[in-house]
Amino acid sequence: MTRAVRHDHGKPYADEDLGEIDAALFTQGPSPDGRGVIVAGTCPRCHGPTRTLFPWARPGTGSKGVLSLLFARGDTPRAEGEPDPLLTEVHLCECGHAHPQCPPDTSYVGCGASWRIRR
Amino acid sequence: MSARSDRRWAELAREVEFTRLPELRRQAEGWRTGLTGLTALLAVLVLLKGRDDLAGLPAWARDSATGLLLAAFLLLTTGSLLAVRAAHGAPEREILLGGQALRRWTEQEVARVTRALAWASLCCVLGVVLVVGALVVAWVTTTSDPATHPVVVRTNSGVLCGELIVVDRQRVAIRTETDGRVTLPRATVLSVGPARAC
Repeated sequence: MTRAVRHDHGKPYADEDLGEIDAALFTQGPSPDGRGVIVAGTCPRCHGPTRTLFPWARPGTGSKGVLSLLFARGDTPRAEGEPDPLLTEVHLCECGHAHPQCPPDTSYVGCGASWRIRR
Repeated sequence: MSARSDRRWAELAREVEFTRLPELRRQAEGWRTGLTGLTALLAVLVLLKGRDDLAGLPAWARDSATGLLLAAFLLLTTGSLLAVRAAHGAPEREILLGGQALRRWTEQEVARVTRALAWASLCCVLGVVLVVGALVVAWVTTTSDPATHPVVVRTNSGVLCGELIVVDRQRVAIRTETDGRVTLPRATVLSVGPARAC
């Protein structure tokens, strides 16, 4: 399968908000190792294949689920009814290519674009 | 929410993945310190202080003071635990961690910590008020009870009960509720012993 537009590796890095993007361009599914959910698609700016893992994690401190923690076995308990990251998160280009002027310390290696997804 | 802010939340969410264990350890250390302090405080109060101060009170006053102290104890303990929870948090469920999820969680946690602090303050103030109430009950009832060390005096002619004033070679003097000060010749006194009450 070929993409309509090739990945523009030369596009300089820019912290640019692209607004809302059609959900048809992206997919969402559990990661193979069960660590979280992967949102994958094509970056609307540089057209590179972007793939972001949203891991299950405990953000720090809180008060919910103490009884579940006491009696849970095996894996750590996870919140139920969690909103899907595809529609609730702001997505950043993570095409993996360090575009020109890409900051060396960024966690999201890509062209710098960000967007939300709507259905 | 600006794009720069969104990016910063996303970066923070990614950092969390690498700080999970240190964060849990820091949380555990905070709880250990808080619970150790609380345990030490309770041990000092219960083991060293005891209930001697309440033993001399009338029954109703003793019950009232005990109830007040018990309620104060529960409130102060709850307040301390809430303060520890506000300062160090508590383990919770995992969430699908993204920038926006972290932002929502932070807003909720700020509200939870604020509430916990408010309740902790209220519990501690009420606890102190109840302790003061128990002290007032003890003081008031203690001053209204004049016979602090009653004795029973057996004589040739009968038995008297009252507060011991003096004993010497010639006499035994006591103060009774009915007759006031009574002085008995030493020769007529068969025995003098403590009494719980007259």
